Amino acid sequence: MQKMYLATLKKVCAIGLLCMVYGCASGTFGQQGDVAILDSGNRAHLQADLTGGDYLAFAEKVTDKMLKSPVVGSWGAKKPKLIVGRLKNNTDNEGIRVQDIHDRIQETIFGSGLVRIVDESATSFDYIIKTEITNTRQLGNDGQELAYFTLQLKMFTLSGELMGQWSDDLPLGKAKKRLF
Amino acid sequence: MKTKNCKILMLTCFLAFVPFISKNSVSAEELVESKTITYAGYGETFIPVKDLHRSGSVSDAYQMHLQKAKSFDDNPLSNLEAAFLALDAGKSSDAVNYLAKSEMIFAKNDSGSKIGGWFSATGDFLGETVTGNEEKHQYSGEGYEKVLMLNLKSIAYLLDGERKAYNVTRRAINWQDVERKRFEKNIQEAKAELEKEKNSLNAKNKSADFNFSSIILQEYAPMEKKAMKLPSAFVNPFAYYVAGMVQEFDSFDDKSLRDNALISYKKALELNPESAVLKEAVNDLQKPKASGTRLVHIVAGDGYVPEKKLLTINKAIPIDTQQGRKYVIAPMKIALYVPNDADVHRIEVSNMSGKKLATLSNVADIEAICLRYQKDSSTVRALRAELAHFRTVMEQTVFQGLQESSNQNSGKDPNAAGFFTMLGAWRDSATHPDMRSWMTLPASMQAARFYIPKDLDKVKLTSYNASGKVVASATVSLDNKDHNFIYARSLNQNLYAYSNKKMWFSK
Repeated sequence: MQKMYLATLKKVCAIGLLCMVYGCASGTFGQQGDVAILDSGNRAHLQADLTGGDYLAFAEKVTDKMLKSPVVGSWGAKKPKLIVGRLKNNTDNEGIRVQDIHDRIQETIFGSGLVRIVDESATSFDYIIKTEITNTRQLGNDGQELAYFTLQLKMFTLSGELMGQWSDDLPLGKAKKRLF
Repeated sequence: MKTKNCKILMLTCFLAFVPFISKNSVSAEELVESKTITYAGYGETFIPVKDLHRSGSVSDAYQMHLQKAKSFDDNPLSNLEAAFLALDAGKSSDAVNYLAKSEMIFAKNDSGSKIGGWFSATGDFLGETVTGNEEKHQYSGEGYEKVLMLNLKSIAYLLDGERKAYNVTRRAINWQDVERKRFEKNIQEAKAELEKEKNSLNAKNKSADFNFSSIILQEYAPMEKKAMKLPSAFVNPFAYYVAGMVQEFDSFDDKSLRDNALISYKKALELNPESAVLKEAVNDLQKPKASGTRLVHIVAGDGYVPEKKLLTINKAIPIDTQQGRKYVIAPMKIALYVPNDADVHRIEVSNMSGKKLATLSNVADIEAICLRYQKDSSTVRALRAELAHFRTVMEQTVFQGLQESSNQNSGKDPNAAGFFTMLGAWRDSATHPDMRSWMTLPASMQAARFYIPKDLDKVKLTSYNASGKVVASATVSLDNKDHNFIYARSLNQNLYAYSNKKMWFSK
């Protein structure tokens, strides 16, 4: 009797385990309840505002434009000294993580190996990069929104001459009703 | 036995309410129409905090509010009041937190989602208006109050020395436009809906046909001149002024931003063409920048925004019954914004030797904004009051019918139907329109913008009454190496002033 009971218990446990495995496999990888782990490049939006994915994509895209430009190409193997200035947030959202964007810009430039990065307090440098993020927002009736975010990089010489300017736009739209 | 006891109990209850009945059913000769203006609902419960604030005990008022407020997690109004009380007590970072919370609650209520959805134009303006149970709903805030919430947040950020003031003020500019459109839409929809209900009730209540609009407009008449100073309640220029201020501060490092500051000041001036400080800023930014001087911006809130009070007009309504014509008193209740008395006529800034540096002038006339809002929503308010009044009359008619029927069926026991009449009277005394409003808001936001010499490290603010006598004064220390921002609050006999923490542009 006891053996029969144990056998039944084992079967129930096995079925339960299979269900759990199936449950995990059929959902998004890493899913826990209603929360899913997304790829770091994912740029899904719940609102017409920037997400962490946008910050990184924005920063990389604009910085790549700068690094591939004729201005930077003309440096050759010189490796000039460069300051990456603090990002100026001119959007209507004070919650934008300006430090994250600044860090990713600096990381991308540094990773290129084309320049030497110096601190903002340095007195000896060749170029300074000023960065700015801004947005415009069009508002329709019943909660519709269309927001355009722009990230801009401007490179100046020590004497203040503009050497180059690069930017990227990201339009974000929000429908009348929530999509998610 | 049980039934007998129950009847005795009911009879005892009815008898207890006999005095109410006699007050509600009166003869034509006894009719005296009365009018009262009183505090009620939220306005009444907040008085102790406001009295303490007005008396100059701003920190005590702040603490009292923190203890008395029911909830901060889901009550935007508690957070708004706490924010102004915190700011006036010199706790700008606390103010930022309360304002962030109130903004989040408004956003969540508006869109059913998180922040960023604050542009959705839903809201329950109409629903609230029809039911008449406004204070039972979560406070949805008047449109102009939400704009002022962001204005206040930008002030708190400036005091904290944070450039985030610019981001918030940009949002305020957008929000004002959204709120204007929402207000116009809500008024139209509410008007159509209420007209429909009125027509339906009118068919049943020929006897209760009063011209409510004219009664309400009569009450608004003393405020008409002030309300008409503005073309709408959504022309608050403060957000543009703060944008100009931040851009001007930034322009000391980046000259190109001086033009941006000029554009912002011009936009502010378009919304308030009479403002001396805005005129001066526009003129000044068209000239080359003065060298060797430091810029000071002062923003001061003066007095209190009009208080929401309950206007009750008791109307005598004729009701035709089987026993002839009878009269009942049916109250008509309206929330009325009533301006506060102000002692302060002007505020001046001087150095410690008494040399005048500037006189503050209006940037945002909040009193006028509030009264204009009241005026523009008068049609809906009149309809709402009318409907509530009609419902009362209908109830009274039904109760009279019940009373007569009861008299015939139960040996003319006047108490039986009187119970229903009492219920109506009790309901009337307990209900009132939404009496909630942001009570710590000032009547005006004034400002001054001026340059000071390099060594000046203190300034004195002095308020004067209309006769030129000093009302109150306050001294504030400055960062003697940089440009400065000062926030002040003038509460009639008291004046408080605070200067900024280290600014984002300070080296």
